[in-house]
This record gives sequence, structure tokens and C-alpha cells, in this order.
Amino acid sequence: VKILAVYNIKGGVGKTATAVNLAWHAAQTGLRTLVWDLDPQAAATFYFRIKPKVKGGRKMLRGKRPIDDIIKGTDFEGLDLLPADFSYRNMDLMLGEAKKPTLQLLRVLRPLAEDYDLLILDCPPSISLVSENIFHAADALLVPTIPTTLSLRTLRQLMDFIVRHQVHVPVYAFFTMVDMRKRMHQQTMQRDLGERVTRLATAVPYASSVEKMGLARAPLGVFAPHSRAAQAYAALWEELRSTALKGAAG
Amino acid sequence: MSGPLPALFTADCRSYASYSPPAGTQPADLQRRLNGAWRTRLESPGDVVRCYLDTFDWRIYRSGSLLVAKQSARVLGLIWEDRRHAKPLASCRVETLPRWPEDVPAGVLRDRLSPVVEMRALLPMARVRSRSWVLRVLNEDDKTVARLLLEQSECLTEGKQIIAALTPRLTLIPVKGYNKSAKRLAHFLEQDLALPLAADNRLEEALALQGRQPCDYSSKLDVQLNPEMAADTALRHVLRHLLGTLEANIAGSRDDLDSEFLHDLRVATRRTRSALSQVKDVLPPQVVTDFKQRFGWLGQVTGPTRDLDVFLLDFPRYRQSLPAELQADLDPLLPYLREHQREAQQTLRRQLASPYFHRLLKDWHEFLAQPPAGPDAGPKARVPIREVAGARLWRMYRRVLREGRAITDDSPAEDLHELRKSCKKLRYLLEFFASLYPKAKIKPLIKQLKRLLDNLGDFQDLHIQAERLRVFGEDLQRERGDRLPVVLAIGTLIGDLLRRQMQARAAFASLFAAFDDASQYKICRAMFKRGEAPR
Repeated sequence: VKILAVYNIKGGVGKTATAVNLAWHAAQTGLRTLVWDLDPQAAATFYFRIKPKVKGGRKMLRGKRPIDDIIKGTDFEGLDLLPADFSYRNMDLMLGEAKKPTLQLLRVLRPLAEDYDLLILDCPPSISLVSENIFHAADALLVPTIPTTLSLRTLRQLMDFIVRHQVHVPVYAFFTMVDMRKRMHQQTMQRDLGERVTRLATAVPYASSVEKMGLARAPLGVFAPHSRAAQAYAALWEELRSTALKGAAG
Repeated sequence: MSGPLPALFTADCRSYASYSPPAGTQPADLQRRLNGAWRTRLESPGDVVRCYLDTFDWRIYRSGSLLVAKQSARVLGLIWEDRRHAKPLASCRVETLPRWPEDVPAGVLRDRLSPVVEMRALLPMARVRSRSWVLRVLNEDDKTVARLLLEQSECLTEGKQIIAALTPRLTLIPVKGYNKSAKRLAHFLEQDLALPLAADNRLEEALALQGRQPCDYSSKLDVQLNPEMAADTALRHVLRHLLGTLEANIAGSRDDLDSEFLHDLRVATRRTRSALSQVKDVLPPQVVTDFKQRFGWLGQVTGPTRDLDVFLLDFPRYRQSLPAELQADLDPLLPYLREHQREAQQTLRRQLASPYFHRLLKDWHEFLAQPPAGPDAGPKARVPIREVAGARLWRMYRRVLREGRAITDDSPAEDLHELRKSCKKLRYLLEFFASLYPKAKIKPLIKQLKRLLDNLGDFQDLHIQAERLRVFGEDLQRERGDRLPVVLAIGTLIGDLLRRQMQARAAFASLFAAFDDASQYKICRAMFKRGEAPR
């Protein structure tokens, strides 16, 4: 199993749309895929028409309830979801109580290795003990980045954190919510991202179709397959398969 | 392309339950009957062809599994199912239908498959084409909470001609995390729509439509005889059974589908000859002489191919038995063996197509179809089979004991060879007439005898193999020149075989002692000599 974490310190960068659309493409190619909605805002859970309440989410994190009981099938074959739970808002505290707090997430995920080929973590923004757990658990970190100065600054903050804490996870960044009419976007996209970051060629445009995902409550490929954004996510998936997810089955 | 299969591909095997809706049920009918109670959405139909693969002797089915090759518009996948619980245990994508376990990509499926089928080829046993419709069952958020898969299927010939339609099948596929909905839906289908559960699996249904059933071939000799039957009738019964086995293996031997066809054909031939010569004074003497000779011919012409088959089957083990640095040196032997096997197979093919062979089968059929106990029958033709069998078994049992007891550490190899022949005769007799005696007493005897035979077989065959390998080595040297490494590797192998042969010789005494057991002697005397403990 490969674990891909979609993460950004900053919120509102199209993180959940990325996780949901990539997961859908993965399942379409035949990978048994699980999305874990770690964000208490439960956007991924909402997109898949699943109720965000998880009975015993805390128990699961403490290892007292099998994770498999909580997983829900989505409308798409081969694509399952571990729903968000409001109790995740206290996840930092819970992880802090455990021994080896930075490795707890990995322990929880271990039993899933046989059932899935790909795990996509939709991570909450901000940097915390949860994010540190994610960095340790993930095979790759995918950072959706808006081409603005502020966004690049948070990417640098992330890289500083990773270097300081000696985490060895590879980091992939791609530009999202891109408006090519804006000079600033064009210029920012030329900037260097630092040597530890692999820059992906695909850019996802700013598009109303992405916002419509909230109405349609489905991945773009289902209700707007010919939109530019849908095609960009398809291209992003193909690019990831040959880079970050190389060697994943399928 | 390798890798996992699309999830929907195996979904029907992960079902909650399968039902038999009335013949001709259309998806729209079903949707109408669900409406009111359930919100549903119909998806566009898809076609799949399932090809059930197994060995000729049904090894996969007998192991409690099914191997299904499922072909959809875009994907060909293999699914290994638990037959009783219709549960997929492993699956993978393939490019073409596999013939050997090695054709399957390395992984869980191949690991399960290889030890079950061993050296046998995978053959298509039945083909079923289905048109399927998925009906998604939705909750108030339009979220899918279960799926219903309606399938209309037909059974196809190998040339994809339609044989007949199977009963339609409605499968309830639960969505993970929505078990309550699946349970309620199952209840609705059973109670409100009164749909009966689907009976057997598709394979059995498809076979039945072709007048077949699973496990309709076995290499085991399983003849039920009545102890009071006239010896002539009983013997013909055994011989007819053997002829059936022999004929079942002709096509596979001719086309060399796998090495077991020829093996089974040869075993049936040997058993036939043994039945002819061992059960004396029952069949007309000129018939016995004539067919013994003609089946002897069949044994001879099939020998060379079988010998080479055995070397090819053993090759991986031979290679493995060599020290690591010599293993690669043995490799030139493999193409040599293959080439010679191919030549032998071509000759065999001609023999199996020859008028002589057809004549043999035709004459043998004719003889077996004649009414028993004709004017030229043997003097014991009308004696009850239990008497004839008992006398013969008792005689052969004592001969084995006599010959075995005479063998010492210094006995020549010929003595062991003679004993082996007697043991084989006894074994065949036991197999022909097993049904006349209590299973609990015959089985341990056969088992003991098998152990002894394995030991004697090792002693003799290892020696013959060593001699054959020597010839191969000389051939390789002469035919291709400059083959010192392979010759040395063969030499090492010969040394190893001869060492094992010596070990087998050393183990003989204790194995024979186990067979020459006082309580077993009493049992045999009671069964064979006195005709006690009949079934």
C-alpha cells in the first residue's frame, strides 16, 4: 500500500478537491483506494454523501476499535472512505497522551495495508502533532499550492519544519486555483520552490466546476468530465503515477 | 498490464445473497417492483464472459475452489474463489487465458494455484456469457447503500456458440458500512418479492446443460463389484472401466496437453494387462494372449515419451539438488530433453492415430460387449468373483512375503526387481477387487504396500535414471561438442542419484518388516483365504 497525504498549512487551497478527484481516478484505474478524511470540517465526507458522524472514532485512534468497522463504501466501486469525526478536533491531545506520539497514525493504518492499494489522507490545515504523524506515515506529501507569495511562504515554512524534524518524506507540489490572466500567478509560477520540493508540471486552473462539486456531491469526472479542471486532475493523476506513486500496483 | 482488477469485477463474489428471479425478468420489471419501497437508479448494462478453468481431473474443484477467467469489454481477470462460500480469495489481471500456473503473474493467486494443479494444464471446462445490469439502491441523500446485479446468462461452446440459457440471477452486493440496508433489502426480496435463493453455482448449471457434472473424470480406479457376481461379468466390468479411462486420455495424450494424460493412459494400459494375466481361467485363453500382446504394444510405444516427460518434470528438482555453482551448468540439458521429447511425441502421435491402435480399441470394445461366459470362456468364468479374487490375492500376497523374506543385504538387484513386480501385481489386484472387502481393512494394506513399492521403485528407477543421464551426457558431448560443464554437472547428478539409490536399498529391510506384520497376515488370511469378513 502507498500512502499519499494531501497537505498544506494553509486552508482553502483546493486540498479536499484534490484528494477526492485523485481518489476517484485511482479507483477508476483499479486501485483499491481509501480516503481518510482527517479534517474535522468533513468536506471530503460531504462530497461522498456520507454522514460525518463516526461512532467510536476516539476508540479507534486508541486501538480499541477495529478501523475496518468505521469505513464506508462510496458510490464508486473500489473507493472507500474513513469519514471525518468532530472528535478529531482533539486528536492532538489524544496523540499527545500516547507513547511515541508521532508514530500513532502509522499504527492505526497498518491493518489496512492488505485491503487497499492506495491510501489518500485529506489532512487538516495548520501544523501540529497530527501533521507530524502524517509526515511520518506518508510515502509522499502532495502540496496543492496557489501561485501567490503568501502560499509560497507557507510552503517554505513546511519545508523548514520537515528539515528541522528530520522527516524523510518526499514532497511534491503543484499549482492549483491558477488564473493565467493574472500576471502575478504567472510570475509566481516561475519561482524556485527549493531543492527538496519536486514540482509537478500539471497546474489545476481556477474553475467554477470545482466549486460545483459541493452541489453535485461527486468527483468532477462524474458530473463534468470534460471541464478543464477535470482534465487537469486526470493529468495530475497520470503524473503522480509516474512519480510519487511509482510502483503502486496498477 | 498487470496489477489489481477493478473492484466491481469481483463484486458479485462478495455478495450478500443470490436469488433466482423468474425467467425473462427485465431490469425495468425489477425496478418497477422495487419502486415505492426503494429508490433505485439503473446503470448501463455490461457484458462479461466467464470461463471456468480446471485441470482434466478437476483438481481445483476438488480442492474446494473455483478458478474463473472473467472477460469484460476491457479487462481479462482471473479470480480464485472459495467454492462453498462463493468468496474471492485472490484475483489478478492477465493478458490471455493461462495454461500453466507459470502463466499467471507472481502473487497470491499463483501461490494458491501452483500446489493444487501441480504439473497439470488448465483447461476451459465451461463458458458462460452474461449481460448484466446494475441497479443502485439509494438513501435519502442519493447515496448508494447497496447494489443489485441482474444477470441473464447463456452457456457457450468453445467456439462461442450458444448451447442454452441459464436461469437469471439477481445478486445483492452490499456497500461497506451499510449492512443494515443490505439486510432490509434482502428481507424485502425474500418476503415481499418472494424470490427464491439461487441454487447451485453457474459452473454446475452450465455443465448440467451440457450433460456433464464436475469431477466426471478421476484417474482412480473405483469399481463397485458384487461378491456373488460371476467372475467373467465382474472382470469385464473392471476392464470396461479401465477402457473408459484409457479412452478419456487419448486426445490429451495425442495433443500433449500435459504429461498426466499419457501417464493415466499408461496406467490404464498396465492395469488392463495385469487384469488379463492375473485373473486366470476366466476369459477365453486366446483372447487373453491376443490382447495382452496388443496392449503390450501400447505400453511400448508410449514408453519413450513418458520417460522424457519424467525427466522434464524432474528437471527443476535435479537442478536444485546440485551445488549452487553447478546449477547453471546443467541448463543445456533442458533444450536437449525438450527436443527429444518433441520427437518422441511426434512418433507417439502417429502411433495413436494408426489403424493398428484403432483396431485394438474396436476389437476390445467388441469383446467387452459380448455376453459373458461364452462357449470358449475359461473354466472359472461362472465362479463367484469373491472366490476367484480371494484365491488370487491370497496367492500373490504370500508370494510377496516369500520373495521379500528371502532378500538379505547381499541379495542381487534382480531379486528386488522380481519382488517389485510381484508387489505391483498385488497392488493392482487389490485395486480391482477393493470393493469386495471392508474398506477399513483394505486401505491400510494398500498404504503399506505403496510404501514398499515406493522404496523398491526408488531403488530401481534411480539406477535407470542414472544410466539414462549417462547416455544424455554422451549424446550432448557427441552432438554438440565442447560440453564439459554440462557433462560434469550430469556426473554430479548421477553420483547423487546413485547415493540415493543406496539409501533406498538400506531402508528396504525396515519397510518390508512393517509390511510383513503378523496381525496383517491374519487379516489377509481371513479375507482372502477363508473369504471371511465380506462386505
